[in-house]
Amino acid sequence: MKQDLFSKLSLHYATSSSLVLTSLLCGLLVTPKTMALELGANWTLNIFTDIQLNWQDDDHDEMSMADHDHDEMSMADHDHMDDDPMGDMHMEDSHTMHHNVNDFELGETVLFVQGQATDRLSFLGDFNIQPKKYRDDHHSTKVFQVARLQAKYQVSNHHSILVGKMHTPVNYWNDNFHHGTIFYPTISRPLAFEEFVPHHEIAVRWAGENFGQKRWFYDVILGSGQSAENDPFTNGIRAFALIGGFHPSQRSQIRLAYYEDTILNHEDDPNHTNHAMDGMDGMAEEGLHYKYDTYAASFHHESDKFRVLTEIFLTDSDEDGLKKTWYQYLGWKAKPWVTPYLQGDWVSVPSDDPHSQPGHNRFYVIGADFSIHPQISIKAEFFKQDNDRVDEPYERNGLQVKLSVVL
Amino acid sequence: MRSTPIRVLTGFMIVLVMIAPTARAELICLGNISQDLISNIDDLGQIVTGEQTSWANGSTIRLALPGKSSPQLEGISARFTTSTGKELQRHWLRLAFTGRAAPPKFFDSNEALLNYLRKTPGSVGFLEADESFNLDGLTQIQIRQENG
Repeated sequence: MKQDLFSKLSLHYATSSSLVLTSLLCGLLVTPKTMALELGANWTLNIFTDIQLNWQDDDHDEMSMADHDHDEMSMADHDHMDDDPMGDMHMEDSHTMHHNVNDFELGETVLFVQGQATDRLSFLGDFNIQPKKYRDDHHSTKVFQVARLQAKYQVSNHHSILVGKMHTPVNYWNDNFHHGTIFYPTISRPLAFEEFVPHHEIAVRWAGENFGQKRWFYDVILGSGQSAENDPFTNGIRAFALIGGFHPSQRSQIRLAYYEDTILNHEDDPNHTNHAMDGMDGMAEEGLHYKYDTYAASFHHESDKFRVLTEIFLTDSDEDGLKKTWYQYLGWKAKPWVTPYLQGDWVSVPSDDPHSQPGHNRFYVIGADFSIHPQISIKAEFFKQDNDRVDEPYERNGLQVKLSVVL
Repeated sequence: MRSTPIRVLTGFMIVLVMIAPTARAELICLGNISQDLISNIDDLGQIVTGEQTSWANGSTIRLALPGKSSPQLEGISARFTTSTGKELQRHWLRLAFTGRAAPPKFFDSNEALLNYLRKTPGSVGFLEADESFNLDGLTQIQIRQENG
């Protein structure tokens, strides 16, 4: 049985790796000629893909490389890890804390399909493929994942209703470029994404936009909640979100969001291991429903010379103190095709938190984005990380380079 | 044999012709929409940048633009935005990825663009004027000064 699973995983790995590399090559060859692949008159397909190279000076040598070096890890190990929640937890730690030590990573290949069924009804599908060993959400055994599958009905020129699996628009980042790495201003997502931001929601969303001179907008979302994963409303309506914002100038946006959810059977929930760290087991009551509220604020401004993105994310619950995260980006468009930038990313979790590892994680970057073509981007970053939210705190410095292509 | 002044003058004229700005054809906007919707257009620039993605009646705006490496696209981008044509393409790619707007279609020839407009209700397109255009079934939308 185990051998069968190993063979299956190996096949998935080889197939998905080939898909990623093939789409990358096709993207590089074909992008100068097309912006999207036409699938009939009203349907288009885009393929996003990326690869990343990492070099780092890691002073955290107490941890065995067997725990971290995914390149050295056989698929049999992966198989074993799937059976071992604690092992999986270790894997998550490394990714969650941006502690990848792969020299080479294949990113996601995203198949993005968009279609207009009628003049008011449109569909969007966002499917991604990635070898399991490179996935951030490593506890998942899936090579292929559905990130978004939504239908949108335009009720009027200002209002629309969306149904399906969608990116929760709680902050600018998640609403604008969750899986589109070519759009990321930096190589990595904000640290908050790995633990606190509810990436996806199966939900009904009522949206309004473009009100008045400042183009005010809002979203009201009734969702299945994070515990439901891909089962629509299996526990009823568990999540609620209210988002509002406006554009202070034509190329600026301010957004505020509130999101609440309850993680059911907190200890048993598969997502728990995604959040909890070593030593956390037993800290929360067995069967505890973990109700939490999040408050988010985003500011984005893009001029001909500068780009600024601020993402603040606060998470609170009755059982613990306030968890705080702050992502800050500042880019200078030195040339139309090159943007040097600075990034700071901070996470702070109070010491009595029952759900997440207490401590601080700080991530600093100086980098540059070379947009050599509208559909090709190369980013290079020197980074420094100081993380005490693990059993063995570490500091590390490194260089990472990412090539992103969209076909 | 021509005298030196004539040769100098001829050379000067040739240089003048070479450096003189090339007369560009006028940019026009054509739509396959009703007169009611045309009268409700506030700012064509908002359609070019995707800030407005649906018509006043709620139907989707289908935007048609000249080929992505064409000088016409650069001209449209310069007229309605402060971005280059390439930046406009990246902007639209990002906007389409959010699901907020139907991505524009780019056409390498005016003929293909006009055919698309004729076949697609709710569409609007930009191209350089040509007297030979057959505009049957399409309505010209005035590009006001504040639009660009």
